[in-house]
Amino acid sequence: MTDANPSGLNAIRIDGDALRALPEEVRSAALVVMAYVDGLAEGQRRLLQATQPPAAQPPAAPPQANVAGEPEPEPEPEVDVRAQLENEARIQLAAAVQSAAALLGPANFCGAIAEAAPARTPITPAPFHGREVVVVWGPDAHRAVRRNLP
Amino acid sequence: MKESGYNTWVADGPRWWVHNGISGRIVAVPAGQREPIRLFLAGHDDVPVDVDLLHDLVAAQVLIPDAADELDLLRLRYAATRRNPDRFHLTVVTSLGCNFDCPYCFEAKHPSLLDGTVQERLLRLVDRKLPDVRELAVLWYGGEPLVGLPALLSLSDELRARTDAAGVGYSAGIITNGYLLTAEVAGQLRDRGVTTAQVTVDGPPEVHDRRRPLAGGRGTFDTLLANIVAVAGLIDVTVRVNLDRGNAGDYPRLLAILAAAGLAGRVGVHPAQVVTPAGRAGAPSGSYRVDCLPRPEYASVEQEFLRQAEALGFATSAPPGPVGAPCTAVRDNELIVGSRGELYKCTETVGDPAEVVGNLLDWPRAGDRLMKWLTYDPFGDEECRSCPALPVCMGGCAYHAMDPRTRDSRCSTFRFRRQEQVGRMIARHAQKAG
Ligand code: SF4
Repeated sequence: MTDANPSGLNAIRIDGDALRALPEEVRSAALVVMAYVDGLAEGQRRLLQATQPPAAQPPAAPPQANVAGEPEPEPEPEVDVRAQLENEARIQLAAAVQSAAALLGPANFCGAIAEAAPARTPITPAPFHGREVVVVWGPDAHRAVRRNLP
Repeated sequence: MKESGYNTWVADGPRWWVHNGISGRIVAVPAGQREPIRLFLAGHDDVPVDVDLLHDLVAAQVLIPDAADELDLLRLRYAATRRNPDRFHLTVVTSLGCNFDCPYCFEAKHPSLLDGTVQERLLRLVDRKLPDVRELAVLWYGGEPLVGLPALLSLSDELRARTDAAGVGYSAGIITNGYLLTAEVAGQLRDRGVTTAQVTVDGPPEVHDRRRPLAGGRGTFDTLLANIVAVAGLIDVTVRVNLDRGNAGDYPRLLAILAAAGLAGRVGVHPAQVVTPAGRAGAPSGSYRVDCLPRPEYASVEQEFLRQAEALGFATSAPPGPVGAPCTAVRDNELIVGSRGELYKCTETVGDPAEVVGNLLDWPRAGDRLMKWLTYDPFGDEECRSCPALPVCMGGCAYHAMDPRTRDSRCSTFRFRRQEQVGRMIARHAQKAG
């Protein structure tokens, strides 16, 4: 499968009035949370791949024979794909709810100012919106982020 | 787990593409996976569904939690983007007078230049705003803004000095009929931070000259073409083509002429729909008798226009992506300043005294007629609430929505042609990648 979004990253950003009132460290902290969420999603995905039943995803290498004397490996814990997906979807939704993905240029239906295209390149760049911008703000922001993490 | 209500599926040989309007993202789905996905969503766990693919679909918000209410999500997005305290956007009418006399013009124009007093008041407003914003964006507008060139240049200098001193970003563009946009003028504009210009050309010479003559009747096509060729390397030019039944069949010849002049790859082009509500006091559009295209029909003409333009190598506007509150009219940190210091919220209302929302002299003041714009709510519109285009349109043109005569033209063309538009996104992406 291909995700046509070349840079489908999640970013967390503290925005608006609050931004101006905040020290730079707080903004950096948000970036750390962003990295955490990205890492978490990636970790989740790897966990899922590692625990997929063979029917859905055959293992890359044949199972190794047991070396005599070594204990039998523990059976992998069952992973509920549906629950994992629901969880990921909830995170995505929380991000999108708080997303401020406003296109600030003129609107493309506008009678006077139809959306202008950049002139010198035959293809307008970035028709895909690579970055979710998540606005995390308020006294409870940290807890809100945590609540949305699995 | 369920499908988002804002997915558009497009068949493409051995696979489908699915676009989600809320995330703006597209995922390829092998044809053989569509049915397993459907069954999985219906609750069957024992189907041969590709789990990686499911994760991608979740990441692109094609699949969402069962309990998700996407309308609520969009409502919040609209509210958050309606208010943008970081950026102050001003559309400035330097001259309500115009050297053209287009029969479909929606402005009730009169000769009036932005004078020193109005400039002074405008700068005072900017001074008040600058400590609170990170960017000042200006759109020079008219009438014909280049008729008011001296005011445009001096005001640009003042604005840039102020934003520089305040450490605030500055950007500017211009919407002009192009007649006075010589290389010399374009250089002056560029030196003052104006990076984009929209110029309207309505067809090949005989068609354009009928629709966009000088006041007095002389044609303007040849001058415009020469100007566009001369300034295309100095400033980003987008050629807009206003379409109605009077010229909808003529744009291929215009595109060919522009291409023959070497403009493909040097300028952008895009079509726009002429909408002429009868009876706007004093505006030429009140007596324009050529039929406008109904919105669905325009949507189809638009896609064909873009297809032909792209085939010739012209830049075109991107297919619509997810937006918040879509324009100045409904955003609270944006204003249009008329040449006499009167204020408006919608570019289409410039020159209409009934639509003046306040005055620079004492802005803002209790009683300013702002509320109809700042309380406009597409989520109160039954059609918008159930419309698959909502995330990329967000209620479209508020001004057209408020008038029953123009209501149908409020919509994004995505409502009528989303398959084709998603197809264009995919093609553009492939071209970029390749
Ligand atoms: S396309 Fe029309 S109906 Fe749909 S959201 Fe936009 S304005 Fe509303």
